[in-house]
Amino acid sequence: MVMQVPGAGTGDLRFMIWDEELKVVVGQLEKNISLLKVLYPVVMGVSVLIGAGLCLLLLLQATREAAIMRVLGTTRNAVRLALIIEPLILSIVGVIIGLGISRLLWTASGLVPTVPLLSSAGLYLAGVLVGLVIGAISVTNKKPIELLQVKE
Amino acid sequence: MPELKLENVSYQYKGGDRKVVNEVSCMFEGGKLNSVVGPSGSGKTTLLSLMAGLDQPNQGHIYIDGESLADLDLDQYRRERVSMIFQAFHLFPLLTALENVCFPMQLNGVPREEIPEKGKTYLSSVGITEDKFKRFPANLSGGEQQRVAIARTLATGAHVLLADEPTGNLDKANGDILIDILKRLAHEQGYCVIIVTHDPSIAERSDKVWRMTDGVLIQQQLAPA
Repeated sequence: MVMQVPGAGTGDLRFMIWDEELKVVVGQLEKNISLLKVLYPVVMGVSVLIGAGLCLLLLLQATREAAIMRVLGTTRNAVRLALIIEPLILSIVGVIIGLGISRLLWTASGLVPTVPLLSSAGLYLAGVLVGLVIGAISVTNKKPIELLQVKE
Repeated sequence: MPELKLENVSYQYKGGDRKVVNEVSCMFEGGKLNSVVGPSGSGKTTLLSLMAGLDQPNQGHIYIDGESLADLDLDQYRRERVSMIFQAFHLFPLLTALENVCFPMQLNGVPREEIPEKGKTYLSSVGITEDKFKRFPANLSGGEQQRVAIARTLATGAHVLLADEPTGNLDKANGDILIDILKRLAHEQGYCVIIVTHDPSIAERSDKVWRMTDGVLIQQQLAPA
């Protein structure tokens, strides 16, 4: 804390530190940091689950297109690859944009990143990949003709 | 002329308590419009699935032009030798009519520069006019979508055409046009057309009618015209 000593000139400033006040402020910060330490893995876990879940749902919606491709003679592996590639590329592009924006914000504010950004991005992409692989396998293992038949 | 021959073909689903297709033996010849009729659950669609190489019989053999399906690469078989149309058309919704027709040619390795022209020829051959080539399936009528689906089967180069209730979503006029096209393909170009249907009017217009009951397929005698 900076204060002016009574009777001193305008250029004569001294630091006066009140231990108790400092302890309160630092204590509060420490609490916040320990809360973030707990929250951060939870947020990461949730984002991995969201990445995987969204991709799984996205692929389940493409079941009919996958069945048409199978009927037309596309191999099972080629259909899986086609289903996985597009959302994976979009996810990578999304992560790169996110990383770019984070960097801009940190550069602009002069702060230092306190979370391991790259490993977070890697974890998210791993979740996406798991969702895509599970989705692609589940979609291509269904019998195409049953998916394409009109139920009576 | 292509021919599809089934020899003692049986199929039972895993965990099922009965054969859905039960020792079926028959021969579908090129140049003829064949109908398979029968009630729901009689095994018609399973039979179609077996003939399309989407499933393999538990017992018996299916031959195309003398070659057993068991010895063939079934993906290649579906790309080049057999094609299907469905009641609900099943075109790719995000591709135009022309792109839908070009898709199988891309799979079959037709030279890139030849694909669009061939696609247009196939579309024209089923009565789709040029102004509709670049329309998406959602902007085509049911009859037009089904004709695009037929053009797509022509683009595969396959001469065995399997149809699962192809007129089920069409009005009578469009249904008649469709059957005319299929009949023309069979009679003029030698296609082996096999239609699975509930519609007795299609059976009446077919060259051969097969009745499927509880997995058993029997050829019906047609009344003299």
